[in-house]
Amino acid sequence: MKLHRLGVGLLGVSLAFFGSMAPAQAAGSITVWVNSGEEASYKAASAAWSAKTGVTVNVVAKCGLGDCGLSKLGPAGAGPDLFTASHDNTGSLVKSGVVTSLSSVIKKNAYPSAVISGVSFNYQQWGIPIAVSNIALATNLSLVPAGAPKTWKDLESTATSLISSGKANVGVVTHIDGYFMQPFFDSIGGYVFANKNGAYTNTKQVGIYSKSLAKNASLMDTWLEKKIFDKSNTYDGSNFTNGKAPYAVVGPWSIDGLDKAGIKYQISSIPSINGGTARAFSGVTAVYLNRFAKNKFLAKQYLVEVVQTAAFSKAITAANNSFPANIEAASSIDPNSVAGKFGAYGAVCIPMPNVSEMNQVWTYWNNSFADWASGKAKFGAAMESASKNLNKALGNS
Amino acid sequence: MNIKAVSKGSKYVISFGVILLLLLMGTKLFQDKAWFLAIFFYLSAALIFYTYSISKNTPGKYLLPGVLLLTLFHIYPAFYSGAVAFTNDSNGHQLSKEQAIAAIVQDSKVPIDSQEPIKYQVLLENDSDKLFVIFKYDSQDYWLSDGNTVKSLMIDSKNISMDGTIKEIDGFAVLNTEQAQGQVSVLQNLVINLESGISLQPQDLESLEVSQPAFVYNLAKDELVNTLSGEIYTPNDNGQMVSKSGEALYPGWKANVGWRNFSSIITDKEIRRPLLAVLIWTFANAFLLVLFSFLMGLVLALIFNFPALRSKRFYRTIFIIPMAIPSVLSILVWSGLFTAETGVIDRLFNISTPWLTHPWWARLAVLIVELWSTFPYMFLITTGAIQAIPGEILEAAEIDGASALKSFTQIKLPLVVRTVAPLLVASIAMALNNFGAIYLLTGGGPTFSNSNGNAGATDILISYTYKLAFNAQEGNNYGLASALSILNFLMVGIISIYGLRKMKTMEGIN
Amino acid sequence: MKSVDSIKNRKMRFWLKKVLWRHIVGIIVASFALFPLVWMISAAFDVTGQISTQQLIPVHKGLDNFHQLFSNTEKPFGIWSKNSLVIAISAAGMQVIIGALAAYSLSRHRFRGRKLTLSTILIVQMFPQLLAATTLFLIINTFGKSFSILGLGHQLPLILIFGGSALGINTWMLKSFFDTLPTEIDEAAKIDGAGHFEIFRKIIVPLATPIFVVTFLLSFIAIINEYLITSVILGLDGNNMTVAVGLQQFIYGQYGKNWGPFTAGALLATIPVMALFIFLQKHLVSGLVSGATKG
Repeated sequence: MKLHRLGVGLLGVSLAFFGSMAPAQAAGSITVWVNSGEEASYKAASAAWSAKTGVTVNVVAKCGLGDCGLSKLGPAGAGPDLFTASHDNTGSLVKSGVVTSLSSVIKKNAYPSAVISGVSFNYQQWGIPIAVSNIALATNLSLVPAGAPKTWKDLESTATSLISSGKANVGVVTHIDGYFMQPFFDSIGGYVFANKNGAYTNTKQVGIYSKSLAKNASLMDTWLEKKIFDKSNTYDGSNFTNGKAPYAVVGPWSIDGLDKAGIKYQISSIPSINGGTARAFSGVTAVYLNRFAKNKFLAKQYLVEVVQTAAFSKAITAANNSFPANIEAASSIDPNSVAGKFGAYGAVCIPMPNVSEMNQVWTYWNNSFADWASGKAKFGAAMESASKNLNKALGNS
Repeated sequence: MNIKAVSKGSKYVISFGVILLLLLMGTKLFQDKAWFLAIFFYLSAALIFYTYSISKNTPGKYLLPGVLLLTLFHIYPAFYSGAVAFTNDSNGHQLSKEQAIAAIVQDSKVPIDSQEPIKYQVLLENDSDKLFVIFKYDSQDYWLSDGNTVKSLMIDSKNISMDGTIKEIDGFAVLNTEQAQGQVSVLQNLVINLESGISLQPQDLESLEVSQPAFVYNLAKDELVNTLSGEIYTPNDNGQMVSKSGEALYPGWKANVGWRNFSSIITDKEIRRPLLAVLIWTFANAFLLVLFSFLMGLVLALIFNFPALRSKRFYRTIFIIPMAIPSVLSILVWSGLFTAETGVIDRLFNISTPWLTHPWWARLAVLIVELWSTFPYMFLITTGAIQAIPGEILEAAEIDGASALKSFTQIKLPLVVRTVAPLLVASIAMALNNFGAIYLLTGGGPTFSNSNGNAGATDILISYTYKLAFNAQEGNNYGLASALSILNFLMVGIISIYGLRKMKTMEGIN
Repeated sequence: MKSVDSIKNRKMRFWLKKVLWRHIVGIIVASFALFPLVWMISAAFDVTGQISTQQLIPVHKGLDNFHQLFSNTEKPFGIWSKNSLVIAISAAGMQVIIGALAAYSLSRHRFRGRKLTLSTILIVQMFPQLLAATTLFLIINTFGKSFSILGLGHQLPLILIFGGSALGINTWMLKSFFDTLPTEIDEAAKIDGAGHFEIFRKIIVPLATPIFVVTFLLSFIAIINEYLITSVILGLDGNNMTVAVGLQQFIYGQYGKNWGPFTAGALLATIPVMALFIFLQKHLVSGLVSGATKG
């Protein structure tokens, strides 16, 4: 008899299914994939437009699986209309054929030229920039009351004296990998690919073992020896948050953690050994249009009327401590705020290469940094082998 | 009698309900053009009807529900992802050939700056319901196009309003903006190629973008022509259009490459080298783990299978706790404990071991964590196996004057090993596939330097496969990953079949 | 008196020689087994949420981590727990029912290809599901276009996917147990006119309750543990995540590694599972061991 009821229940379920059959998608709806945790800010910033036009904006958090299979789901018709990505993916996305050119949509003069270079590939623009983010130096003001170092000598001597007096375990807390070490790498004359104002058109010229770097490489070994850099190379910033390191390389995403730890800190640019500024990579977060989008017209309209506005760029960046890509929005940021400090340094940084060859660069470059940190190789030798392997992999002779 | 009648009645109600549900779902899926799923639902409905209403085959009635779910969510995806092994599916090779060629042409379009976008209107042909667009270009004439053909058209001036929009045309319905919105899926893919080489494409519901593509595709010859340089590109066997000089155009498409992914495992040094290291660790890890875990379980079972120890039940409760903590959480906790220098383990023992960043320490850390999570099971099954040894055998040995050691090595151990051997084989098969422990603890790292890709010291085949497929730095090499997962399946499958053959539960079946 | 003394003495000596060292080994192994759990508890009550300063007995004790867990609207632990429970209970229940049906047939009915059937369902599921994640995404996405509750972001498709997984191993475990039940009872019932389904429902099911409990528990834990397919199908929207997917969000990234709420959540998720385990220990042990030792 119980079974009988089960049967009736199943009939009920059948009918319920009729009810649940999705109605044909209303003509006006677009789907945007954003990074997990950013849904709220995108939803809020799109609400007014949505109400005005009647177009539903579905903001969905990406799954954590690589690019969430976007390059597979798009061509199969299962992708979103728009998605956010960091600009260094531009080359791969274009070569995979999964994005559509936005050259006719983008207002180039609304963004700094380096930002435009970031989302450009093959002389076209592929993404609408929202935010610029880069790493910067954080100084623990309790350990270093004088504040951010003006010169590299400053940094080196402060760190060394704090370490020798036992007040600090290490000088600069950082990851030992390409992205986090780039400013120091730049400082001693290394570079990944030659570029002109952030436009990378020649991947034949690899500077990972440039002449200048080869000459200065032993400096890196000395700094590692003197514990200026932390060779344990863990992804944990606790030496800094516990007041056991005067400096740390941090990004906008670190700010919540620093504030929670309750330390007094200052954000600044990173000094170069040559007296100037050591340049980190700047990254642009941009919105891309899926080539196989269901509703390209509305998506483009949304890009023009919402994503491209200064207000949108400001709203999204305010939520995650990054710096607006839009010039107008950027000008409204208080230069003394944390975001302002990141932005000021970011303005002199170099855009992270957006060519698809970067995938190989990361592999060899990061591996060589790891070899160096673990003591397997001296810095010069590690970079020489990265450079050799990379040139081979890229087919440069 | 009565009960039977009711249960028979309800049986029909159930199967009728399920069949109805499946048919309805199949029909809806069919309408939505999800062919495969629609066919699956229809076939399922038919099979259910056959099995529960016609067939006299009893086992089928019990096996069908499981088999249907297994087919849809396991066998089909396995075949689907397995078939990828015979393609070059990877970054830059994910589109179909038509998609790729359309993308190359589309991306080569250079907007003609001097040309303002052209206004257009959307029409539906009354007879065929076919979509046309109408626009004015280059002359006073109107042009009508459905994307394939373009022809000029004279429009009576009384049908044209002041601002130039058309009010009505014979044989066509003129759509307003809202109606045109319903045709977006067609409009956004519409391309009108004029004889002059100019290409027009709707950029919204009102205007056409005028551009000049650098590439033109010749369908008959299957070649792309660069109209600027005159260079001709033809398809190669790796799913790309290439010129005579060898310049390849992106994007490429997913092409069948036969057994190339499999043969590259052996012939390509860049693939073989890291893979060999991964394979060695995959097996070493599995065998070492099962060996240590079994030995630990056995020793503990011998120690705590001691009647005079009154708290042995208490110990057993404590020992099985690792099984009771969801492993995804416990492994992450372990990863925190293993943090170099600042982690609990290094501070507790006052050492500075780079647990997760040095190849050998990382391997040891992996083994420790895996041992922690598997020894309770080994302890339980060896305890069971020891207790199952008939007391008479041991007594007989004692009477014969066998020493404790002798009775252990010659009687207990062989009996225990024989009983648990199939389970050990199963454990090896499990360890070969233990993705979570590796991926959450070390991520397979530390990576080998000088290897093309991200293979690491603690990577086992399955975690390496995952990285190949989902890591952009590996080029999202789905094709190779799929080939490796087939290899993994064969490895695990063969070991499992070997284990199954040894199982007593299987021996009873003939 | 003397003899009592000597008995006591002998007992003492026996204890020292044969029992004491067993306790020592027991304590060492117990510390190994409990090691991560103890630190999980300690970190959960340590308000600093840092691994580098953490002591066995936290210096700054408090319930902050638990407060954070329940007050964070972007990371709603309460909803994650509910999601995990709904998915794991329904899917594990489904697994047990489907597995029991298959196992009954394989244990009691004689038909050709029986061995092949069992080995096939066991082996088929050893094909790595990792790569199938995108295929499953596409299937569920297609479902979602026709039936919204079977689409991405919904729990029903995930329950169906998990409900059919582990069929092989469950069927094998259940069959091993069913094989130990004497067939004479079925025969008697058959003579009384019971059909095959009645034998299953009225005789096998009641007798096999312990193994159902074990199978359910193991399936339940396996599903609670799953995060890959789960995150692909449900997505990473705050309210859609499960405990396994969601808690990981606390410990991603530099400076963002928030061990406090992570361990607090892990502890809350572990306690009920552990309680069940200890409570059902007897069944569990006999279930696992029966597979190992029966002939």
